[in-house]
Amino acid sequence: MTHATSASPDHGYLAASDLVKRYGHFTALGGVSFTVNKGEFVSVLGPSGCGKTTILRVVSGLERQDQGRVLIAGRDVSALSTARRNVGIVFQSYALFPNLTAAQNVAYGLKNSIGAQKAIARRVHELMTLVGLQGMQTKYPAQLSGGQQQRVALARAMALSPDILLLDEPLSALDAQVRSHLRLEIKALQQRLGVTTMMVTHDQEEALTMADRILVMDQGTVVQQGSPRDIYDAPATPFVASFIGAMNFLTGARKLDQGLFELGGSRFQAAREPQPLAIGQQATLGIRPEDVAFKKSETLRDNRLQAKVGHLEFRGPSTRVSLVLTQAGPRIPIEADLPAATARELRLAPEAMVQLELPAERVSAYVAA
Amino acid sequence: MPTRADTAPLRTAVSESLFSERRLRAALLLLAVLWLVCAVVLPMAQIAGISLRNDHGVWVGLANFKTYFTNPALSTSLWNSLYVSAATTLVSVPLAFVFAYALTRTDIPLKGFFRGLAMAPLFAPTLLYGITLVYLFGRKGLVTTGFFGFFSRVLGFDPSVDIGLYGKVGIILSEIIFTFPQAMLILSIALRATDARLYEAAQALGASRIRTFFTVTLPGVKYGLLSAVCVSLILCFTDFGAPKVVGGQFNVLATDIYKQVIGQQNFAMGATVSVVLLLPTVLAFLLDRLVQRRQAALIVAKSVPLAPCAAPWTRLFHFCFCSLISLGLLVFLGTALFASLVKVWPYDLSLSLLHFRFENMGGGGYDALSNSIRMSLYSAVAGTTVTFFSAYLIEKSRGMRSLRQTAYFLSMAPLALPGLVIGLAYIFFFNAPTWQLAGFAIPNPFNRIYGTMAILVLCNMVHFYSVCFLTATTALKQLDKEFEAVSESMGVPFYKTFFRVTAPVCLPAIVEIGQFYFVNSMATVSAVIFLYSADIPLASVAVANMDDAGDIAPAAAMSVLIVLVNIVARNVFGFVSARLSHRSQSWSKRAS
Repeated sequence: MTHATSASPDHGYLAASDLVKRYGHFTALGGVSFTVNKGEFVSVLGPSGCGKTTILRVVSGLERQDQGRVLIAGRDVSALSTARRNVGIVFQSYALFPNLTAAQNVAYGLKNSIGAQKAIARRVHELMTLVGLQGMQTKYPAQLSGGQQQRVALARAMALSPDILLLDEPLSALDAQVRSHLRLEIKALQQRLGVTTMMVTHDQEEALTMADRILVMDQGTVVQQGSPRDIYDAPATPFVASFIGAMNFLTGARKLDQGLFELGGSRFQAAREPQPLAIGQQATLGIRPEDVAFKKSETLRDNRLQAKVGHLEFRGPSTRVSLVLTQAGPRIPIEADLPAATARELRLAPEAMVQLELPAERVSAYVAA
Repeated sequence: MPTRADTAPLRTAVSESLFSERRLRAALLLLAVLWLVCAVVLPMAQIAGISLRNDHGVWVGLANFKTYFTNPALSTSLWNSLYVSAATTLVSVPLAFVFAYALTRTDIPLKGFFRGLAMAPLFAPTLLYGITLVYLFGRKGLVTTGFFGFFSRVLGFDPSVDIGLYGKVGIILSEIIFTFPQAMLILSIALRATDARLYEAAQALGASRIRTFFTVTLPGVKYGLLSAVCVSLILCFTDFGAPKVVGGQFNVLATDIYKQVIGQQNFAMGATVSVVLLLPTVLAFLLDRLVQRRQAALIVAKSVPLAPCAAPWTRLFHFCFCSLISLGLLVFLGTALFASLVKVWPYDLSLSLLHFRFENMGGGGYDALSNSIRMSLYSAVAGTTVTFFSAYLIEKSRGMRSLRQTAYFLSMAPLALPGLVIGLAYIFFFNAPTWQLAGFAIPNPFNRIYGTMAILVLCNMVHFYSVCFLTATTALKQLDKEFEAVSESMGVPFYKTFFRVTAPVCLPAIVEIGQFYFVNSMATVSAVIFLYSADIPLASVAVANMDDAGDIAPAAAMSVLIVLVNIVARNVFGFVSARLSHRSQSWSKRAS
């Protein structure tokens, strides 16, 4: 892992191994290892209390881990104070100093030696231009909008050219419109500067759109890591599947053969088995609502199920259909998302009987809970 | 893949440098604890120790307490003190409640005026309340003589009444005036923190106004109410000024301590009475702390502010009530001023500044006043610095939990200490040339400050420490808790951020703390009466001494001067605050 890859300096630029952090009896991190490559944007995603903020605080040195170590650019910084780790942090609240102007905030960490004034002014100007806030130098934080404050915080974090940029829920204090706009902007800025970045968030959309790679955390451990597409398409566990996007879980299936399952008398091909299953073992089939397809009533074939429409929820661009499988023993609920056009075409109504197809390449099989 | 040995638990590998910031912070925090131990814990331990010895320093166990409780001449004071405190609280807290209710929950006019006037008694030494009562209800008082016989002469009837001022009546009246503003402050804060939605819900459910009052209003302020009761009880129980002037033969604990120590030089018994005085106070303090903690847990998500009640009858009632109280206070303050200006009460009512000359008077005259001002200034500067910085260290340090908790507890402890007890403890602690510790005699390193300005300043700092500490802590809690983390990540030392960001942002609170120290140091009698030396007379002590000598008019004059200095000081502080705010708080105003 970290040792084997030390040949390539860009690989594993930030490396954490076996991090353990406990608060009394509560284990915030239970042996977490990960790497971030140089210039990469990695997002740590998880529900609140999963330990994601603790990772950030341990990497930055604001909290000291109980076990494990942190390497930045090949340097063991495990015991160093935050000041000596050369990291830039943007906090959720931005923590802008309210009594200093935007420019003074950005210049706060720059060494103010005699004769350095000009260099500082130049650097501040450069940074303010970088985040698109030219002419805002003399404004106080209270005079800036939320998005502008966020950018000042970003400029301040970048002022000392940190090795690692750490973002703690950087967009959660903003309203939805500003947020989606700033997402793109931060990402573009990060790519332009090529700074290695780690962002903590609980917002899956933020992680999916911004990150090169996502670490999904649950209860103090990393449950899956990979590119946004990999994680969305092939969630490793039911937790990941339901935390990122939505997923139907059809319980009561049984494994017949490699990639072949039985549910309610129908046979199902499943393309993925992230958790190893033995033949004959009970299984749960997972499929995302947008992958559920409606078929004209025909004789049942493989990967098809009879279902009754229960409730329709109009969502503008799409319609969420709640159904109940009729052929399986216990009445298993399933939800499907239909694009507006398809929904208009099908003209579904409650109590209608329909046939659903679960395309084999979109089905994942998990160990029955 | 790493081998097993590689992933074995790795404790902090590199040791941190000797003078890291964390260590510096820890050292400063330790210093804060140490100062509180020296200024609070050790003197209190010593006074407790002295109460267990006889006058010759021989260990006698609880014998002093036995003497105290078996001697009715002594122990009646305890019951007297309790009686006076209970009676005062029963009157002043309900009055304060209605007053605070009027100011916070109704939209009566002249709120600013009412609030300002209600706060006025805080500017004066409690002695003044007694003195003014003497002018109103004493033997030659305005009311007792029926306005100097004016009514019987002109209108033909005699409304004069003698309320029997000297004794419990006088004490209770003074203490009501004394505790009213403090209870009112606590209750207005409690009454302000409410949620309009609760009242809307009660209204929607058809609850009557009386039912709403008992099911919504009262439960909402119960902690504030309890706190007001505790504070009022503590204040009367430990007050010295009023009983000294109007107590007459009615002995209370605070005057007993004074008599034992100054009158009879019986230090052991003085210490014993101090401990007796301390116990109920500490109890009330702990109760109050317990209640405060509950209250902190009660404050939840953002609530909707309640619009003040505009119903005409409610307004009228509360306006009349506030006017009445204010009228009373105006008469009271006016009488004090009038009495200090009148030539010979009640025979020659022509005005003059005669009593402001303080010639041939004990007490020190204008020297005393200037000493008091100096002392208050020093106390304000030193007190504010120490209080704010230690509050900062306690509030804004990470880790070091036990050290911070100890420091916090010690910072709150002075709230339970009556001024007289602090004063007496300081005599014992600082006057002793050596300390006896486990059979060894250690030279007292602090002995040199005894009888100097330093001990007076120190005493005031401790006496008013807790309230200021709370103000500082509240202000600091409102700052973003990541300021320190941000500076750390940029390699900026914490003290730089303290001076560049924390202190400037908290400036309004800092000025408020300074003002609190100044005003209270000017007015206090109890803590300094044991500690002032003949070289450094103080104005508030001069009031007590002149009153003792029967020079009541000059005593009133000196009190009026103290109030004037405090009013001027308040305005100066307000002006400074406004100026500094204009310069350093311009950030808080939105431009657009």
